[in-house]
Amino acid sequence: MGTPQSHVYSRERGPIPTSTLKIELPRITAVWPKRIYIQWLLRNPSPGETYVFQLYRSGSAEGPWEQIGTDLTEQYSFLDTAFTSDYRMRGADLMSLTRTVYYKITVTGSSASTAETTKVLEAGLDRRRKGLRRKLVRDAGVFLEKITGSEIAVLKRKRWGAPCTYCQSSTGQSVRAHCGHCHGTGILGGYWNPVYGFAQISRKVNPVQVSTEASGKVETHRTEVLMLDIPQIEHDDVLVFLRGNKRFKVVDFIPTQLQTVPVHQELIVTELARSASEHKITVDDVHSPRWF
Amino acid sequence: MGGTIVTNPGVPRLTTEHPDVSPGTPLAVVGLFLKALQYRFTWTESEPLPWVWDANLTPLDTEEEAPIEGEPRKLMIEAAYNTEKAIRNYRPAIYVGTGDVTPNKNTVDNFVGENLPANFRAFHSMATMPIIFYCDGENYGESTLIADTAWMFILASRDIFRSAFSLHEITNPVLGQTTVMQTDKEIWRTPVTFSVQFDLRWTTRPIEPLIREIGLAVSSSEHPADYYIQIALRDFES
Repeated sequence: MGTPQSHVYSRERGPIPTSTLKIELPRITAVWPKRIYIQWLLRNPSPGETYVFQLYRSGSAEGPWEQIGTDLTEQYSFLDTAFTSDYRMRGADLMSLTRTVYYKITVTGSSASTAETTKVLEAGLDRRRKGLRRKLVRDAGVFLEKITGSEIAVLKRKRWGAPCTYCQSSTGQSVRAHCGHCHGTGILGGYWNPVYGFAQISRKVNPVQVSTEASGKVETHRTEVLMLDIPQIEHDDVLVFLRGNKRFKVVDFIPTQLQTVPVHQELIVTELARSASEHKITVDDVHSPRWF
Repeated sequence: MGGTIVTNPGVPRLTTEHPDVSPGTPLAVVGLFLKALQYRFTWTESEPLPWVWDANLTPLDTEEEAPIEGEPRKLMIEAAYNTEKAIRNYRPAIYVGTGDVTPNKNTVDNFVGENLPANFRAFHSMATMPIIFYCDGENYGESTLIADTAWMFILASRDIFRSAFSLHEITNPVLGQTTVMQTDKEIWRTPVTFSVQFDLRWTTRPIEPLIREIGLAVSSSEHPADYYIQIALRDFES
């Protein structure tokens, strides 16, 4: 089948063209719990040309994006202070150990040259490890793509956004788990746009376990998945294996490292029942009409 | 229930129940409340609930696309521990189960009377059977709201159920705490519990006098074989 490929996924692990205009985000640092400092760097600018930057924020590498910096000129940093910590989930917040925030910076030059990049909130690596990481991530990505992996779509669960007006009670809880507007998350949309890539299900055989309880026969299937650390996975994110449309919910995630450099993520996932609300989320951007 | 749920008169049992299921057994009582809940959650225009019982749980075509406002989600209502059903891990769902059945002793030795000539002894007890509704949903709000609907239904219809189901008593239901458990994902369960009471009646007859009676009849009979035939056919008229 044709494989949808996320721009971010392929860009972050690929080599850099050396002569084209490029923009980087060398530093995205959090000042807990209210601020994030973003710094960007322009590569290969043309002399005499002026550049205008637009800065965006999202909870996933593929958006949708919220613009937080408009027509920025003569500056190469930005302090994002728009974290409201509104417990009704209306605004982005930094009040969790596993919160991930993505930033996208675009640049437009006066000669119509453009570039953009996307990056997740992270501590950042030193110069030596940056190069090492790029090599390791690229090798791991090629290995997953060509040999052991299978096409996936990552559905990152929204942690902030407009509340779902169709199913949210005054307590902030969703009253309809299969709400088509928020998929039971209480936030409109429910999940960010799918991020496509490759992942490998554990080679260990993990059978479907069937137990008997008050609801009759109950099936559970837990397994392990290995993927790159792009995009960063959080608890309750959903992985869709596009061949067969099997969907898994992330129970636990373990960032792994090679030579102290983060490269992979090992995930413990549980396969969702066929009637689960997450099966209603559309992920197929390749076929028309969509298969799933 | 006005003929909507048809039961055997005088005993807690559906008329359509399997003949092996005796009145008052847990299966029989669960069947009664299954029918009641399925009736409650059947779609009606006058009260459009977000969850509708349907024996066919295949999603509506509209469920596959953008939802139509007010379109309900199908609800499964089944007996607890029913392992014969093919569908697994479906939510939302209500499972009807029972607890320990306790016969209460209202009289000494449950004894209520005796027929001396025939040596029949009659007994009576009142059985108390806890009923539990397990209301499962994929989030807290859905589970607790489904349970609340079922809970209020039982509370408001107690007197109707007592007469329709031939039950002596239905206690006020208790809406339990919603708790979470992990299966393929987090599942939230809210229990609704109450107890039902119904009559148990039985008789006994001592066997030894009967055997002696047979022996006396045989020994005094001119044709003992005829008497054995009468016993076998239970025909004492001739």
